[in-house]
Amino acid sequence: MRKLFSNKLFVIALVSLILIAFIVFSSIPGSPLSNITKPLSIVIDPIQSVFKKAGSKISDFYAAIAEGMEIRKENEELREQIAELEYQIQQGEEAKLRWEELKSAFAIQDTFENYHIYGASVLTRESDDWFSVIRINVGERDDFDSRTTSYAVVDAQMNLVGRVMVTDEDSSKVLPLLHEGFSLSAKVNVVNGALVMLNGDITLKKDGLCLVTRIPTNTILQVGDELVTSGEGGLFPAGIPIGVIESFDDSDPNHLSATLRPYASLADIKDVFILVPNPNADKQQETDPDTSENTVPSSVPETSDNSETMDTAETNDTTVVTGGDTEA
Amino acid sequence: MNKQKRARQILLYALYITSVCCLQVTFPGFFRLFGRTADLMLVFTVFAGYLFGPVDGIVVGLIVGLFRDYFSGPVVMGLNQEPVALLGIGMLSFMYIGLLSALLFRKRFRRKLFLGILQVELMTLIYYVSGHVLSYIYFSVSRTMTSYHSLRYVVVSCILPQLLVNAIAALPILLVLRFIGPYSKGVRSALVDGYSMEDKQWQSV
Repeated sequence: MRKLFSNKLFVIALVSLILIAFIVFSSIPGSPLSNITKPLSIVIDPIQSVFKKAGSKISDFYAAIAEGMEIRKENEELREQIAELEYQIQQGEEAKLRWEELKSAFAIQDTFENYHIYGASVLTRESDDWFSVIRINVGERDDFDSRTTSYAVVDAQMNLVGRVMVTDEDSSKVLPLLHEGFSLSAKVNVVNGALVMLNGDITLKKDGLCLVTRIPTNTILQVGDELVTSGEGGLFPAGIPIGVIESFDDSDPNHLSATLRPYASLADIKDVFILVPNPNADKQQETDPDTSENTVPSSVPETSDNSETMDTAETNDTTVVTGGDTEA
Repeated sequence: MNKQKRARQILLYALYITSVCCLQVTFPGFFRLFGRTADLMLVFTVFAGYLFGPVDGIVVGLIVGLFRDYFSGPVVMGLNQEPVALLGIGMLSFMYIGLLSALLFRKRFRRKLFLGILQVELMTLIYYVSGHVLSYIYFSVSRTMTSYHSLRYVVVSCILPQLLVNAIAALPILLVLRFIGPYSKGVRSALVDGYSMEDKQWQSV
């Protein structure tokens, strides 16, 4: 046996076989092999964070030197704007009160009222053409995991960025909107807008575009039409803006297709937000039948009750939670 | 090798690997030229194998590959038509890159310093060509995509700029490995591969 292991070719072949088995088993949904990265996460993520912080500080330092004069000028302008904004805040407070009155009178709900919103920073980006998912700095330690479901990831303007795929101890993998493995049900953002399917496409990815398929026949999409999430399929709440139609191909009436330019640009994003369904929302609807008809995500999947353990700042039912070192 | 030298070697390798891996995925924009990001992980693995032999190449390749899988492992459609992140592809491919870097043209190149850049170019070519071929086969077999990149795009917009960017990134990494370590004096004296190092033609500049 020892002789066998001293044979270099045998060792290389054995390691290769083990790795191939590893790849095959990791492709099985729910495979326990996906948990193998959790111990790694405990070691690598802090190191990664140190690099990120050091890099940010260096770039901030050089930016401060390079942009010193501009910053001084901007500072003067900003002081003038502050005075103006103070006045607007006072007006806004009054408007808010009126909005709350109207909201309770007409039983209007905010778009993502039944969702917790977790803030996170982008830790790592793609390595090459094939290793192209990103990592963010929230994970199971922040009391959510993606084993039972996935979550929508949006940017600061609430535009769709992607979805959480795998959660580790301190970080999570996010499948970006442009990735060829991404697909979701979307709808044209007009009254009774058509339902379509949005897919990442390997040939369109390089131009920052997605493919729109399963467009109902007799539907004509115009360049500039906005697509939002339909809420069907259960992963995403309805109404998250995705992007606008860039081109429409009706050369084959049976297979209409279009390209979409997403609002969110992954290259520029430093911070993202994760929408996690609020498990208490269902209970509230049961106790408050008047507002049950207005519930936004009818098909939102159930999640484990994690809201009570979190350090949250609640306003109505919407909760904003900051996980990790969000820069925004 | 005494304990002190071994500790220095391990420490420097750990430092290099974490630095190279973290830098590439944290600040890709900083290493971007002609629309491509320098593949520091690949360059480092190639040099570990080329300069210090197959064992170093394989071990470094496995660890760098693990980092690659962890940070941004490839995603494919699972059996339930849901995307799943694969583990092990980075390890497998980088292990072979480390091994090939140590073995290919070792008699001709004699691990000479600047021929290492040629080895980086060769390995970049092998990695990206095989990556695109395998992707094409995967998409054709799985029928998840109706089209793939054109050959012109793959050559002109992917491989050629990547070769150039990797060559630029190779120079500083090569100098650091040769003149700082992981081995003292930048040369692994134990590595003779059956050839004498007395003629001073191995691992020379």
